Amino acid sequence: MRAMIEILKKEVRQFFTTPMGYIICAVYAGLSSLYFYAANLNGMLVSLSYDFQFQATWLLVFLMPLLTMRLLAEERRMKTDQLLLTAPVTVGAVVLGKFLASMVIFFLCTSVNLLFCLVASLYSQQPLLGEFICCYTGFLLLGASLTAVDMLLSALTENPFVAAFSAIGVNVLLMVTRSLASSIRLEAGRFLMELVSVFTRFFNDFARGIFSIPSLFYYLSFSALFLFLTVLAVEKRRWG
Amino acid sequence: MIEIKNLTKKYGNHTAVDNISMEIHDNEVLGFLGPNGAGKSTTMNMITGFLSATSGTVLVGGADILSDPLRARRQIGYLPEIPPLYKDLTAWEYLSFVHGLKRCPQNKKTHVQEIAQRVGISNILHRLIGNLSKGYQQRVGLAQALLGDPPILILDEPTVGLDPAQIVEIRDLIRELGQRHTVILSTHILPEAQLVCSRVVMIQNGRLAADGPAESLTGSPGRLCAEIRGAPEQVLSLLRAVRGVSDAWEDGEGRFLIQPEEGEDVREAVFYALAEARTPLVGLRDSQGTLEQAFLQIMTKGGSAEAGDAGHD
Repeated sequence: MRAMIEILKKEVRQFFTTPMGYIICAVYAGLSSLYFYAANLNGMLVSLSYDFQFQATWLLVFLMPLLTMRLLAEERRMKTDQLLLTAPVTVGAVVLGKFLASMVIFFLCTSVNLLFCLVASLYSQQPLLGEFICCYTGFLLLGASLTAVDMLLSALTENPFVAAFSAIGVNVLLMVTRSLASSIRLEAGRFLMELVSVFTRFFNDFARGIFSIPSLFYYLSFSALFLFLTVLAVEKRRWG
Repeated sequence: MIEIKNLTKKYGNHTAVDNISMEIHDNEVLGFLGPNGAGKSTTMNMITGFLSATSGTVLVGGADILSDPLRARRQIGYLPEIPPLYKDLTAWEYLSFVHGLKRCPQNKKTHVQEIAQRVGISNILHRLIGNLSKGYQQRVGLAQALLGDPPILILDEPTVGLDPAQIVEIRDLIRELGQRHTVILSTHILPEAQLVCSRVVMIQNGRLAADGPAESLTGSPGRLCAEIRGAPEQVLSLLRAVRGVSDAWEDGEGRFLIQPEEGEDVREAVFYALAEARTPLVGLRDSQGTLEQAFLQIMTKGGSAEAGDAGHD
């Protein structure tokens, strides 16, 4: 537990030691603010859900790979994995610490949405908090699932850029399944689409204000599965 | 302290480490010698549990490195060949991280400061590791291994890439550490092993080629190395005729090695014998057969049984 928290702290610290971390956050805040201004303030249509939908469609696919690309690939490249894997900690603690660090950074980076909620509530007639909490929770769950998938890709290579590009590819693929799902007639195909419905569940449930418990469990088990696969991928190198 | 039994590592058809067995005792400074690619790092990586063995076992203080990894690893401080440093952290941040990672029971601040003092990095603790010289980086790596005061230290080529002054400092430090820790260190610099280690193990092609105290591998003391002008056969017969000389032979580089009988000083006798025969002696020195020679001998023979036996008494 203590080792896991140490790893979490180290990762967050490392992310913000280079200008890169701040640039990523700034670009994210800039683009999402632009949309918020255009759609909500200028368009006089207060819907925080649109903000999250925009971010999920256009920003998340790139943000998660940027947060995860270094996590395991860089350790391997710099041979610092020798420290982590010979310390008296389990691989599970290492992977989980890094995953949680990514989630902390993800939250910090997207916390600009809290500001949007505050600003929007000044203009809105109806209360927004419920919608906001529902959307943001779904958004974070979607982010957690993508983080877990992208971390696995980072564990499979020692080149962070290979990790990032393959992660973008996989994320886009996951997103595309959302539009594919409706056009597939085959039963097996639909089932498959259902299995990888990380984006679909966000858009169909949380973004519409439905706090779906099955989807919550879906996201948690999806993330757990890919974290487990990441642990296996790291362990496998020991046996290689 | 560490028991290695039939340790083997295969990569496909290639056998990197082939059936190595040995025991390493408390407070021993063990030198791992071997040419590059002999399997030193692979062996160390298996002892520390970074790699798994294809077959065979490693017991660290009674704990199996693969089935009881946390208990085994807690006893080991490991400095890999490339120090595992995060260049974007300061030395202090890095050592604090390792302190937590290893779950050291000692107070963080005082313990890190104490270790920093010991390896001589107190003055650079707040600088970024990436900006430090190689010697300092190596020391930060060593400090990392020392954190938590583990009974066993495993150091993979700790003096590689350092300048001569730094090498001397690190060697002194390792010798000092040997008094409180069990140390395994690998090197391909032979005098280093001779200077620092109490026991030397040679590895060649993944196999144990020799195992014994450093002295036992370098030949008996009192051997002389002479430079003599003259035909080798004539010189050798002259030398062998001298009283007190038990044997003489050429070393292959134009010099002659003279092995006197136990306790005999044959230097004067050799001088007169050669002078009378008008074969000038131009140089004579004590030849503690260097480890280098022993090493090459063992390597070319492909493993020596005599040296192997010497270590087990």
